[in-house]
Amino acid sequence: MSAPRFLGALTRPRSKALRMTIDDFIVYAVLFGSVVFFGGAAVLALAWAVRDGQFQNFERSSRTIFDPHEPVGQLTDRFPDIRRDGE
Amino acid sequence: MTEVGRNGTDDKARYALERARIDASCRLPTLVWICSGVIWLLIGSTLALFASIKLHSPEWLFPDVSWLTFGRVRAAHLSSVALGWSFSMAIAVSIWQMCRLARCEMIYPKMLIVAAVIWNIGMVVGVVGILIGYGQSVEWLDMPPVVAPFLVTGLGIVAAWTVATFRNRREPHVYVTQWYLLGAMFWMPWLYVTAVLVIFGLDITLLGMNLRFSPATGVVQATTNWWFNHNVLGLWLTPVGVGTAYYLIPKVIGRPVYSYYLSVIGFWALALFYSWAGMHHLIGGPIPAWMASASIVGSMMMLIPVAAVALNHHMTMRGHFHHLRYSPTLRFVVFGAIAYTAVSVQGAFESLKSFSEIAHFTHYTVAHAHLGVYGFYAMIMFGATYYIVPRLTGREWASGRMIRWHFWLTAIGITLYFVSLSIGGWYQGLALIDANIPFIRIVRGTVPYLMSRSVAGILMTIGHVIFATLVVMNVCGFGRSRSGPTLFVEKRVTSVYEPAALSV
Repeated sequence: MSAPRFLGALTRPRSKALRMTIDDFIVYAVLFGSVVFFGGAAVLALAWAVRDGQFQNFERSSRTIFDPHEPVGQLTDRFPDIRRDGE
Repeated sequence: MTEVGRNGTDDKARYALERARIDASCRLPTLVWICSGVIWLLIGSTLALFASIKLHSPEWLFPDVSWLTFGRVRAAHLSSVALGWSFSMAIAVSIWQMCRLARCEMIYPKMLIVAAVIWNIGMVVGVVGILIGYGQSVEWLDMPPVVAPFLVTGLGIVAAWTVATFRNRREPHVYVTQWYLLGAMFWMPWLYVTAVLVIFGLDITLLGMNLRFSPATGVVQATTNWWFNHNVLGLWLTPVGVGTAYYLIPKVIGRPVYSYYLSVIGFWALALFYSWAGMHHLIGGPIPAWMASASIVGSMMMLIPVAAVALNHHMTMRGHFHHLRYSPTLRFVVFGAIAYTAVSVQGAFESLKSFSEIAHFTHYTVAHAHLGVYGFYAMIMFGATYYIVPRLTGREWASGRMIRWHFWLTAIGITLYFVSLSIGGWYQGLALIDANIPFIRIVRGTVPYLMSRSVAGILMTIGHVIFATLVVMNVCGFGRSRSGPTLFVEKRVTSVYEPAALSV
């Protein structure tokens, strides 16, 4: 596959050791592009979480999965043949 | 009734109703993905038995049928359980938990069903493709590249749905489980697309334009392969498994997680270190030395999130271990959490060069991989299924005895598997580095351990059949109907749990 003109400078062989084909370029683009994109996304997510107060009041955070109907202190799962009331 | 009492009752009813509505909205898509996972588990288990038995008895059952030879059956087993069972269950458990934690009813449920159909078409084409000889010699990407568009589309739909649900959430706080699930849904499509593009290349014609580039070759291909493989475990199965444990353990025993701070540290440390670890599978191979060293450092740094998770789960359970007797979910999830700690610590030390010198390229690695994917991940998925399905169908499990059989068969099975192959693999490794021992003698020496593995596989497969029977019975209406919004313990448990009142 021939390289587009604008990639000529990148893909033109200068020496045997430095030769980069268009396929090599795409592999590097995929690898480095994804590292930058996803690394950046992780940093943005962390910054958003800090700004949004997600890392404040850990005590309250740990209790968000409970509510008045399934409060702290209530077991919510058991074998079907185990009875509390001897049924 | 006093004003306070009435408000309390109203609050309870409101939350109960909200949860019932959320569960009802999740019912069909979650059950479709769970059933998909169970079917692939049965297919994968059958293929695993074939592969295991053929490794020590190659003449057993149709030795001349090419599509039942070890090479094909083993790759088909891997794809069935890794991409069929594990992915389907990851998606089922994730979508239900996302709705629960976001406190919002499921949006676009049909989209998730379409994704399941697309995913399963890809899986059928891929597994049949491997068996009839179109498999690729790329670990974890054994299926023919033609299935990639199906899997990417299916996964892409689920990832997009996850983002939409997150944006639609009513609960402003992001619980640690959501961090793990969001991370997994963000990482996995990236991993898969990058690995497929780099390893298999691309050659498509779109709107008259031909887009093509060749796959990477040599070292780049191998490193991409192991970067992908290891990250499927670390950035997909691990976040889903650990995140699920972070929801189910506190929820089942009714106790907040011991240290929320540690749980957050664990997530971000996983995000930071795990993607470095994959290259330790190529130690001793022709990769740059810095790459192996960086990978070993990343692997050892993983001890930080692992210690955070292990400490947190243990301290949350402290004083509540007696609940293991009563809760099927807890029994499986705690087993999985313990296996997570074990496999992660083992994996960190396994990455060291001196350790790899013996254990690498032996059955020891196979034992390690199964402790992770089965002992940790699959066991947590079993536990999650026991928690989720009754809440979706409104029916109790048909038999507690069958659940206990399932647990003990799978727990004993994976323990036997791990112990036998670890011992056999270690001896195999010691023998392989001794040039005076003939290779065929080493191969013969592994046979007893491989036979133990087949026995372990039979135990686990029987467990899977029991599990599948329970799921089918529940979905088809066998089992007592439940009344009330929680659908599982509503009628029997008062607001404060009293273990002394239980009778077995």
